[in-house]
Amino acid sequence: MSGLILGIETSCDDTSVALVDRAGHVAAIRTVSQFEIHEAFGGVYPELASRAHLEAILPTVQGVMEEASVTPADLTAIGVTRGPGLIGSLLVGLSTAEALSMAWDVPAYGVNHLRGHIRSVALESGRTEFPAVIMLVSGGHTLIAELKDAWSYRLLGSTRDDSVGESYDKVARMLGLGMPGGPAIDKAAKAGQPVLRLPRPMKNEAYEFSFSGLKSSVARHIEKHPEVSVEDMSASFVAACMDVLAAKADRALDACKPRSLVIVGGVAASPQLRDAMGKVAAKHGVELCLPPMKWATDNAAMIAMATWDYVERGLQPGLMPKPNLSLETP
Amino acid sequence: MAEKHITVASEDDTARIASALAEHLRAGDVVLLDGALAAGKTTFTRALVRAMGCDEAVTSPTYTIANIYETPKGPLLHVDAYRLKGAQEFYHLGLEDYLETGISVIEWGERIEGYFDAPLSIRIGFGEEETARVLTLTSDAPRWTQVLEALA
Repeated sequence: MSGLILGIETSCDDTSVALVDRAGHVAAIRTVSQFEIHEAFGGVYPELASRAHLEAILPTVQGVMEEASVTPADLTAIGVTRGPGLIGSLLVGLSTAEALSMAWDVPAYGVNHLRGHIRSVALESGRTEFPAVIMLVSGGHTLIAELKDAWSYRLLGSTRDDSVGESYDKVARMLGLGMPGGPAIDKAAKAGQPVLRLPRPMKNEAYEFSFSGLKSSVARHIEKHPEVSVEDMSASFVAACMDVLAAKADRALDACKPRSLVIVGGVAASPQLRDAMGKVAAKHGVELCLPPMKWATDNAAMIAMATWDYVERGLQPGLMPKPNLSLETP
Repeated sequence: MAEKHITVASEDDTARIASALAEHLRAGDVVLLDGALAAGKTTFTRALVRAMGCDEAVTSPTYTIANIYETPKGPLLHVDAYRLKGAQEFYHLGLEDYLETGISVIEWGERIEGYFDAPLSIRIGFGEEETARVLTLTSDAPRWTQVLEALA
């Protein structure tokens, strides 16, 4: 199958559109963050409203089509995130895809955002040795899955409450470190020592995660000891998170005996996480695969890449938004 | 104004209060949850969803802003208003249908309380012990007077 797929991703704050061929080559990608829109319009537009997606979506589609000198006749399909995500934001992407599909006579496919993260490893000649274990650690998600090949996967576990990225952001808020919380915590942690005793929620249980209790412990500690060193608290919090994430990865590598360990999601930028996962991978003699951050965080190229699977397998789950969509459903 | 203070010793205790409240909830009700980070707002919501007969994983809505749970007793809309600047932004989310047909639980609800006619406010504060919490339930609306009296 030749041609390109137009991918559209509007599940959260960014409006992203990309053109990707079957081999994973990205012909063009544009991502507009709502923060930029907000700035450009002098702060008139609400940061989070689906309206910001609405303002950005068509110019962004037009932008990538022009940049790659592509016409609708070059498109094999349109792929758009149908969930999980914020309903109003998803709707903007989905209705745009539906309208373009009708106007251009190109089929449109609703795609699972989490499936996009899993397929992101194939972008731009990224190679994964299968079978693999993949960990998605971001603001919106925390999960671990086994990939038997590019298509077949099995969810091992996900978070019961907060994602790891979210707990970073919230602890950063408690410590007055500002946003984005991840890099701020990582930086403070490097200057501190992990001397405070914090829990390791669910560390000894199979593959489920829970970060809410850890967040509560940090809150209670700060309440009782307001003088606590921000650096030591950051270091202790990061140590607790890494301990749990490494334990889950270690267990998965033991059980699945994969050839590689893939880490995606915004938290994959954390030097502490890269270090911890490097050790786990080395212990098992598997390859650690860290895709470039532009593909490891939310983007439309991964959605377009995943759409090729839907096209080839004739999967058509429809264009209705599914805010709570899980990995098991296409 | 009706007001009620309830001290709970543990998460299980909180769940019992949430279950008792769930008995009284009906379509169109809005519950605003406030309290510091990690006070237990999502935990309270999870208990409500369970009490309404839904086993789905209830995760924090901080990033998605809104999650919707289809329970046997109708939809429950779970919102995190922390990142919203006010009622206008809430309006732009396009969730009005759920406000009418379902039960809405809104974390950091004080930020957008002016948007609702007759909300029940629940503030969750830390207690003396690690797991203890103090729940303060308040409302100006007659709808909630008897409900608050009925809660133990």
